[in-house]
Amino acid sequence: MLRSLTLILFLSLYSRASLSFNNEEVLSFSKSIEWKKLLYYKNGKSSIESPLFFLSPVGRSNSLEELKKNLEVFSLRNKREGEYYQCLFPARFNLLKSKWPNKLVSVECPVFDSWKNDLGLGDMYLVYTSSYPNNPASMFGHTYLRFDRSNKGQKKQTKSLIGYSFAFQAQTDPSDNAFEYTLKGVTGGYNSFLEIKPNYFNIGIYNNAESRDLWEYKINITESEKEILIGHAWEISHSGAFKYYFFDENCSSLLISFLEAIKPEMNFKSKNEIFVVPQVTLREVVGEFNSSLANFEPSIKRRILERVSHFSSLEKDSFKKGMRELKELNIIENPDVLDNLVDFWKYKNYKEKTKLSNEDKTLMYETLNLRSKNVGVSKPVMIKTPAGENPVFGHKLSRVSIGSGEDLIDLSIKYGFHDFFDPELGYDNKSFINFMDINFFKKDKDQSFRVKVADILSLNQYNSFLPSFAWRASLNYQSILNNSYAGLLGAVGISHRESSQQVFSLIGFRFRRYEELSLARPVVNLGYKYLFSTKFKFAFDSFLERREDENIMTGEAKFLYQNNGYSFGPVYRYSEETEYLLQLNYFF
Amino acid sequence: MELRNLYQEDEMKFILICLGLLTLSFKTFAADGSSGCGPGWYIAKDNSLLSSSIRATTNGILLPTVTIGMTFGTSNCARHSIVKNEMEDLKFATENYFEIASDSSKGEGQFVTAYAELMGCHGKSIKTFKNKMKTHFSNLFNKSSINPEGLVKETYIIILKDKELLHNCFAV
Repeated sequence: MLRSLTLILFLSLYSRASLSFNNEEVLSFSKSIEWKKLLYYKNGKSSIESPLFFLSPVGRSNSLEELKKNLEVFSLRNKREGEYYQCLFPARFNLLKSKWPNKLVSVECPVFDSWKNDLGLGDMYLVYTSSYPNNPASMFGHTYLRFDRSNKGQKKQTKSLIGYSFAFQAQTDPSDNAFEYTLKGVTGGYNSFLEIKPNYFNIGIYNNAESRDLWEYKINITESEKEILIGHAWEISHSGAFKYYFFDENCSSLLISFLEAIKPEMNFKSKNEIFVVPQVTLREVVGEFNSSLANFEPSIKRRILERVSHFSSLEKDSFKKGMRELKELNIIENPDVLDNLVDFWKYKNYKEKTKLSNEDKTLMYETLNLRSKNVGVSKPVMIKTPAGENPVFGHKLSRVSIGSGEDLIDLSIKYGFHDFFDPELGYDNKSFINFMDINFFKKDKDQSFRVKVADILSLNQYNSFLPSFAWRASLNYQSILNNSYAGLLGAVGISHRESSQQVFSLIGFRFRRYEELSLARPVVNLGYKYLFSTKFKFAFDSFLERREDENIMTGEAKFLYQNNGYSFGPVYRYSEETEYLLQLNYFF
Repeated sequence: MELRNLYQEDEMKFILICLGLLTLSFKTFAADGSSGCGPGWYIAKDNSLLSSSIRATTNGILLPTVTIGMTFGTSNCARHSIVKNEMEDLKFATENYFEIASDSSKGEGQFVTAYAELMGCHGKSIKTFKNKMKTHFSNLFNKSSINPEGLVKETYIIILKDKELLHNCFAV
């Protein structure tokens, strides 16, 4: 009897709760951008894969049913796995509570409150890590959010270091080989979650292990927006799992969708691109939030080389010997040299993933021990922010080119991103990635069709202290007259850049696959660039190849006037035949 | 006993630091008492993706040791990488062992400064703390073994033995 009465009372309360909402209001709100963006609905379906993120069994594809179910549970004091629904989904609950203030039941959420307090989120920054061609997934840079720590640390630098960062990354499987990695990355074989971790991990990974610079832009949000952000981070870090696609559902597109969930009135266009590129989303977010560069964190390699650049030849010699020989190390007294050796071992220890040889371990320990006994004060390393490399100022990524000469016409369209001839502003100019560059050329009755499917040129600065090599890998297709082939090139060598000049020299092989024939030939790739000013430059990119019994030089030399919207100038193109043309390149 | 007489005005801190030293080992291995990260993480568990990724990030590059790092709960759940405030000094020392060693040898740097601040030092005592880390380098960092727990214990002892640090740093 008692059980029946309880059941009747429950049903009565339940029906009151579910019936007390105006159907039209509910229907209208289920279509609102606030609701849709908070649950990542896109084209009628949420990007979030995990069923536990939705309260209705059809919630992932039905925003109305999901809203009704949410209103129902938030009208009661129901729990899932020992926690109130209101506490599992605080951002969602607060959004609905603001719409129906008298109909939803508030509860205490001590676990969430404690987590929020421990996070101590202060000022928010969008961080861009520079391109890293040595890892295909990092080739186009990376973006994440970081927060100053509001409840710990006194100095600004400490607040940054121990503050937390939010990032979406593919949760890859280290046992996957390169093929599996690529296949899964392209087809959505990996999951992605909101990863929350202390910012010192980012310093370790990006600044030290991968020697990448960090660019930080302050993003101003209101305190109420921050409350939504924290609540939403809690709910998706618990039950929000996305499929990760390297091209269009990646770290950057998920991050801007996350920002849109916090500020639904914002609508970032770059997330709808076929290929969502971190640098493009960075520009859009920085523009929308009207923010500017707040901090530049140079890589450890940049710091070491900067200090070396101020060394005398004696100090350089001492530094070089101290890296390798214990006997030489023990006679060093110069604190600047010792500090640079300490940094060198940090660099090397990260590079070797802490798996140094026993000899190197001894050298590292003795270096640190020697420095600890040396009371000398070193000169601070002052690194000026390379304003010309600020990624916000880079040219747009796609390019169309038209060229004309005597009886010839040359048309090109490139999907992306940045090649050796493109304007330098906004790029570090050591990573050049060309993707889907299609060229059509017609001269008299001759015509050719070329596609650079991918051309990656990594011009790591060579120096005797931290030697690293430049390399190039490219895949192309070419059809001239009735002769067509697919080509693959791999080359390695050295590169040097100093003030207005850049030069590289690579040696490798070029494989060509014709219809009935395959050929592999050694090739030398030489490149040079001279900047007369930021507006004018001369550059060439040449390949020397031995074919049959003769040496053939192919390539292009350009003298260009440039700004970030377009470039223009004469081009000299050479192979078995030579052509002169005037070329206009427009970035869009 | 002598130390207690010497620093009578900081008796409470002295006791707390001693308690911190005593309980350090316990803290290390009991830091993450929870079991898993709740039902929402079943996708990660099914695919072993999240856990493997974090292993790849932390063990290879940043953490000198596996065992201590894992006891903080970084193995299975991003949520748990946020530790309780009272354990943050040990977590920081574990995850930044080499960084703290490098900075300590110089007596300067953002990691040793952050370490001082996490130990509760403030004002001028931060500079004193960093100098002490430099002069006691060989006691704090062992050539043959990597021992973040030992680093934190030795740091507590340095604070205990210095009147200024004992007064200005609240280590536990």
